[in-house]
Amino acid sequence: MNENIIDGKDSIEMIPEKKPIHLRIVSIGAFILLTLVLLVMMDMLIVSLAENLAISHAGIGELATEDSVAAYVLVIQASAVLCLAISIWFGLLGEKMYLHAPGRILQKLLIIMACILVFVMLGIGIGTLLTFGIFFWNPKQFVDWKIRNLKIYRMCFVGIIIAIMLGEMVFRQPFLTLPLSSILTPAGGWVVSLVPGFLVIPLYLFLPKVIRDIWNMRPSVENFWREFIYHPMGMLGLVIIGSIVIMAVFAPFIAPYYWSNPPGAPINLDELLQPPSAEHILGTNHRGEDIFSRIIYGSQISLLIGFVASIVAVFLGTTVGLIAGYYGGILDVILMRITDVFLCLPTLPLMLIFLVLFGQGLQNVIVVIAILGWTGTARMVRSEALSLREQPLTEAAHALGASDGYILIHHILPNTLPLILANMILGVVTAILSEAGIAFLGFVDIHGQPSWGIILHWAWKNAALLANKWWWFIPPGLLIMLTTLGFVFISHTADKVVNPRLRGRRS
Amino acid sequence: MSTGRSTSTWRYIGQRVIQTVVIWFIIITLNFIIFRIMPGDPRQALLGEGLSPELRVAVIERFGLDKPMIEQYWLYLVNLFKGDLGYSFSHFGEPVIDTIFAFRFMNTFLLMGAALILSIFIGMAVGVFAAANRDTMVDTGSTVTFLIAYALPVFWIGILILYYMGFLWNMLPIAGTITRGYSHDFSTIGGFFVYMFDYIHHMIGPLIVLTLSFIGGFYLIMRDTVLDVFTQDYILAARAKGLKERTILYGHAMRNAMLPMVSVIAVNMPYLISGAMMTEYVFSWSGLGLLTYKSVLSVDYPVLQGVFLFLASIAVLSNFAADILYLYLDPRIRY
Repeated sequence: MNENIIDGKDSIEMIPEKKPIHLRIVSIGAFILLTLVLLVMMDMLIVSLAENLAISHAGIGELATEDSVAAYVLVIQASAVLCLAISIWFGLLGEKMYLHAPGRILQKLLIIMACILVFVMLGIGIGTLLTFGIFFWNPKQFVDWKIRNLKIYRMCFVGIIIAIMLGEMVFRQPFLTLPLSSILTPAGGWVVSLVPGFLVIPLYLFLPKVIRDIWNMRPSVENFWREFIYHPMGMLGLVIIGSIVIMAVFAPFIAPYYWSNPPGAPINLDELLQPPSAEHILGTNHRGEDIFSRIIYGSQISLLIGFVASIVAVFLGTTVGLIAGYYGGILDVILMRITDVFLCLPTLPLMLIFLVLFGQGLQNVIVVIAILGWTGTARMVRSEALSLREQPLTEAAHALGASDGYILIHHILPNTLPLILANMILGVVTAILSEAGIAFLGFVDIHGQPSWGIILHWAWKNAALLANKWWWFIPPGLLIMLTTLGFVFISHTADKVVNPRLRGRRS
Repeated sequence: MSTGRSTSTWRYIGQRVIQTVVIWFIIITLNFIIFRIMPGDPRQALLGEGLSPELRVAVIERFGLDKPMIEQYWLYLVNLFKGDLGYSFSHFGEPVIDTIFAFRFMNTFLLMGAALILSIFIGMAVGVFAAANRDTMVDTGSTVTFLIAYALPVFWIGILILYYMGFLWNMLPIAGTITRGYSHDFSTIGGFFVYMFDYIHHMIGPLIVLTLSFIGGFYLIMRDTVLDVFTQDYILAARAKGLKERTILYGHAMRNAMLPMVSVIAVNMPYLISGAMMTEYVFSWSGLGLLTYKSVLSVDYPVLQGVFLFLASIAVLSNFAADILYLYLDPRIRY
């Protein structure tokens, strides 16, 4: 009786009308923000993929005019938008896209596109292998074959292709020099254009579903927010990050000048190395550029590298971790040994060597930070997947006839999501700090659009310390610190909210 | 019973040894490959522009750069096990072993060791204390402080210390490991203690920076694990026994919270070394970090290869040591 009354009271308190307005704003705002970020990232990936393809394969690029690259990029972007529209149509308006024929046709189409991409970039041998692996690994005609026969069939095919590839290599060039150098030496372009290629295609498939899942996540966002709002530290972090993101997005409107002098402008000696004044709030640098504007534009690069590198790293780590943890066995052993090797590599020296090797473009910086930063996530996700695999839900799904891929994506991935997000926030911190460090040492493109690290690099190179120019080296460092601090505050608070163990023993 | 346990423990240790050797071997191979897939011939970097063709051929043959890759790899392995890492391109043909170990390794070792010991002790002590007083002013204050330390860009705080303590207030020397003009032979400058004080005086700046950059992570992990340990049943049991709060804190909670620290330190070794590298650059501390930076700039492949191998080996070994130490420290783990 007593309990009933209490329950009644509770339900009265939970009447939807009484839900405070800020909850709605936050949940819908989070949805819009995440969706926008997803779409923008997608677009960026497509553009960089197209550019790399254009430059590394099609031969357009440095040799040809700017126009042809732009046209090439535009064509690929347009077809991508078309594909995106189709898949969103199926995903949001058509019910259960992944069960109906059009969705499957789209999937097949995209897989074929992936194969073609590999054909184009890595040549016939690997392309054939991939096509075989995707389409003919388990052919439907051979249903009644014994496993042994199927194994022989696979071995034969793979063996023949590899023998042909090896033969070509051996007869054309001295042994063992060719394979690595022919794939890797023509600059990072080949490798780099492969990475977005593999990223874009899965995104195509899952973007509509991801958007729908984000929409369905609103209640948990609201629950999270309810707790989060009582931690001043987390709110402070959110405010800091929010204002820095706003600063980055609206940089052209906030900054009084552009980040560099217009090309070909005459150098005015009175403008160089000016102390702060009403005209230049933080003075000018050795080329007469306004430091304040450069710092504001710098937020774009720093945040971009931070977010993208962390997302790529977490994506890599999650994939490796899920596969290793879920399938186990020899795959697990191999993947984990690779992870161990990466865990032991000295990070900063390797980053510098890679950047010297493959050029210092923005994508290379991102790839370098991501490649050396995925190991932590992989280990954590693996152990999580290992424990989830043993749980009844996996067994039940198996009993219902779900395939491994389905279970991985629909059951195990969502359960590891909090872990992945936590890793992503901390990954942003690491990425921003690494980028600042590399840039400070001068191993990125120091003449392009500046990041905060690059501004510090120039300050250091021009002996701003000895000349007492605090306005040159203190503000950029302060901003790096504020950004990382904001993320650290958010992650610390989120940890408190999500991980109930840390709230202490309830007595 | 006990013999059965110990044999399986030995088998576990044996497995770990084999894994470690395999990983180390992969790293050696990687180290060979990375420096062979460079775009642009490494020979070019060695030879420079204005050499006559005959001399060029002679140099290439002298260094074995015209041999097939497989043979070069074999030679590389053989030389490696003889302890021969080749000769530096930019340090006047000095053997790489000398370039690394003559004094640079010692400088880095002293700096990093001091910073590690300082940061582990302070981080652990404050972490346990904060966890014991959770959600009080002490806890919040120290957590915010150490979060800030965690978020600091290493090199920037180095710049600030150089600017304020070195330049404006004249408390610390600006660069180097000893005062310019002093020789490393300390008998000439008035004895060992004068030399040592000068060295320590130069070390203060980088030491503060490195300690600051390490300490945040150690503190956070310590605090979280102690909080985690507090939720365990054996702490409740200890309380029920009527043990003093201090005994529970330092005897039970802290000892168990030490375990994750061991593996965290081992796993983060490469990151710690990277932090040391930035610090060395800012303070011109003549250690392995500065050497790496200069070698990348001057395309000194043999030195890079040597440093890379050395740092990776340290990471491999520390991971292995952490696993073995775990076995000893945590009696619950038996394989």
